Amino acid sequence: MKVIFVCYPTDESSAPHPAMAVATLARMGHEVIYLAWGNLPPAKWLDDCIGRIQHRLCPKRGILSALGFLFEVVPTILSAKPDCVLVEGAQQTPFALWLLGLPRKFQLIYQTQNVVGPGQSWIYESCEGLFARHCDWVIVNEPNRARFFQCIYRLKKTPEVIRTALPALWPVPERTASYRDEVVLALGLANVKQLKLIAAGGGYRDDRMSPQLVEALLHLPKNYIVVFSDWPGSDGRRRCEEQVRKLKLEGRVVFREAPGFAGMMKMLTACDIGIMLYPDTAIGHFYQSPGRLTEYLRCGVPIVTSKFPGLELLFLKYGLGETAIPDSSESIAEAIRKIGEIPVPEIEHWRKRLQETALGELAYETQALPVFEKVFGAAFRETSAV
Amino acid sequence: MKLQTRKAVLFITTYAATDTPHGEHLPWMLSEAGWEVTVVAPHEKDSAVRQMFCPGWKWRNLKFRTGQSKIASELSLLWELLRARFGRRPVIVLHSQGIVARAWYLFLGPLFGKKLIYHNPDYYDPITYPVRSWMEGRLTRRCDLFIANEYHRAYIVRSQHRLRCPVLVSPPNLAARWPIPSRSEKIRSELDGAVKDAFVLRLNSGFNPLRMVAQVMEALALLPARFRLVMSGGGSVNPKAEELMRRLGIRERVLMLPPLDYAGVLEYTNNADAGVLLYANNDLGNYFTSPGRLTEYLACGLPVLASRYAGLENLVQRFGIGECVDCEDPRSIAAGIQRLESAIASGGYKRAKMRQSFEDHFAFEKWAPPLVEAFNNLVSDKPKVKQAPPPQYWFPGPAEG
Repeated sequence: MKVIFVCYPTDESSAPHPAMAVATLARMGHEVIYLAWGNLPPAKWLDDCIGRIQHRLCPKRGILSALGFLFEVVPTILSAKPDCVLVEGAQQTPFALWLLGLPRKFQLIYQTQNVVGPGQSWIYESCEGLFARHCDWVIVNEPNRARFFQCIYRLKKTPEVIRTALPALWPVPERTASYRDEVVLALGLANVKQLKLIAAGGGYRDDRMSPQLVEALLHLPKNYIVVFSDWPGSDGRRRCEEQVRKLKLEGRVVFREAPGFAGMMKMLTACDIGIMLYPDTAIGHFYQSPGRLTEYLRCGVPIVTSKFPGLELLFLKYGLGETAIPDSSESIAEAIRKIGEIPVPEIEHWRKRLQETALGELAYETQALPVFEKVFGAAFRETSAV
Repeated sequence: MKLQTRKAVLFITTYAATDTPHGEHLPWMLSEAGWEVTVVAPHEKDSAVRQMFCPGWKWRNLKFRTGQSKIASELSLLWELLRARFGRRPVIVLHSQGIVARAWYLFLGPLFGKKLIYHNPDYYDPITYPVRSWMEGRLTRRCDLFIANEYHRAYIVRSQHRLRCPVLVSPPNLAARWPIPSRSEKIRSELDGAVKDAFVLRLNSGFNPLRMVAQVMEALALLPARFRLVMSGGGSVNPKAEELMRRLGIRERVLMLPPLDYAGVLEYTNNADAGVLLYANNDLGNYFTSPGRLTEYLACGLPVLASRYAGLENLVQRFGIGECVDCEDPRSIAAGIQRLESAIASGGYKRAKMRQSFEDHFAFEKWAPPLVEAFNNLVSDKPKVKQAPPPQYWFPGPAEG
């Protein structure tokens, strides 16, 4: 099977999730042409698919270079004669609309791991709606989003669902006491007894409820420390330091320089609690299925997430952690404390179970392969190498 | 908080007051909070809510679809909407989505300080009802308050219609004070058909494809004869249902009840063992459903067998009130019924616990305070909100493990 994938570039520092579908297809022996508009070179992890993924990067130099990208996409599709064109993300849909005018000798699939809520961006919203209506299949990453998507864009059928997740074969560093000691030392926390490291899961951002998380430290004992990943001098870091000073929480918040995806995963193995909070501001946040979920789980980190129905249901079903009202620092602190106070043998058992869940029911393949079979039909099974 | 206008509300609905009492719970709570309430509804004369709890209500019978011609029916509704539009009541609640098209043009233009509230107890899916959904959007954008009956629906309508007004949730739940008839051996023996150890499923619905009745019947055929189903058939048996039951060989295991008043419905429910809440995934409204049946079952102490859709599944998991199944698959339904039976046999899903869960989390009194507060805000000197936050997250009371 030959697949043309239209997406933004997946570089070394960014999460691998947008390209997971084609990486999986390539690993299964299918031929993939990856067309991206951007400047950063592809991530090294795509190396194991090289030979099957042809990566074509169109340089992004101002808005006019978008035309260059379009002149790359259309002739490639016409000459490569693919079985399927997979377009990922609303940002690609203004380009992808042109594909609707081509003679349709291929399956057209639109996949998105975000939601452009109504009123957020009229251009992406209009292009996405028009494009999705004309695709053979639409794939989203959360069941409630799927229903919403169908309703708002008036799709003939409910989109398929593949949750954003890491595949089981994704390499994840092991949790080791020596690495944790190393991190604790590097962060200058060696003298904190019964240290509880809370991974903020990225930089200091309002749309990740970072101010509320920092405020939650006021309601927690002093051995609870939050770790952000950010560069020195960044706006987020500056604002965070200001809040810390204001709340007199010096020493309770530490920063690691943004270490890239692999470094971030390694860092997570040294943490005790993961934060996955989103604001209740729009549909996209409300119905979340973040890649961060399986990143934490694979590293055996229990999670505190927003008390939104989709996430809450997942947490209730699989026992992944605690939910909290994202606007309330007291509620966040209570959820963190509940996890933090679990005795060591019990939490070790829990960590193992979280890793098993991420490798089993919540792994990328578990959800994606049945959808691929449905979308690509019997040919997919017959032509797949694995 | 200073009041600008008097606390008087006119509540117009096309739902007959004799069918189910859910729609009248909001005016009931407002009435208890000191509001002067006028209800305009078909058969309001016989409203159980008014007779039992709110004898002080002012009321008018709305002659809408109550036996007279379509034109008379339509004129009656238009007359009531016009009276509301130009009448003395400062707050108008338009309850029921059937009003949308008429209200949209009747309420065009300045409202002269009147506050308009739209309460949709259902959901207009834009795929199935594109024009009505559009009209609903136009109307709701003019409203001072929008009330949905389910949290997901509230959130989605807010996003879909780009609402700026406050959006609240008023689920069709019974009040804890609602009288539940006591259990009766006579009715139980009617339901169990003299079968020893019978397990009686209650489905407060007729033969409706949107309620997955055919799949429930197929599931019943996969189970031993002690599993029985009691439906509200309205007296006559649908020929399709009859044919299906004969084909599956379960005719004698399904009881179709005659038309009953609401107390009668609850009486039969209270003598069953579990309630069925299965819905077709045909549109967003059914996917994110908030059925009145849920609290009818729970108030009687029955656990539920629900569709595995995000909204219902969350409730079932959160409060431990039953089992979720794939409602398209009779085998999954049958397995769910068996799980319910064996859990009940081993002391799970105790009636008292289900009832307690109803009182702690679902009873309408728990939902009333923010609704009453929002109504009070409308007539206070608080400035009108330019962009209200999303509806607040949802079930009152702590979650049970």
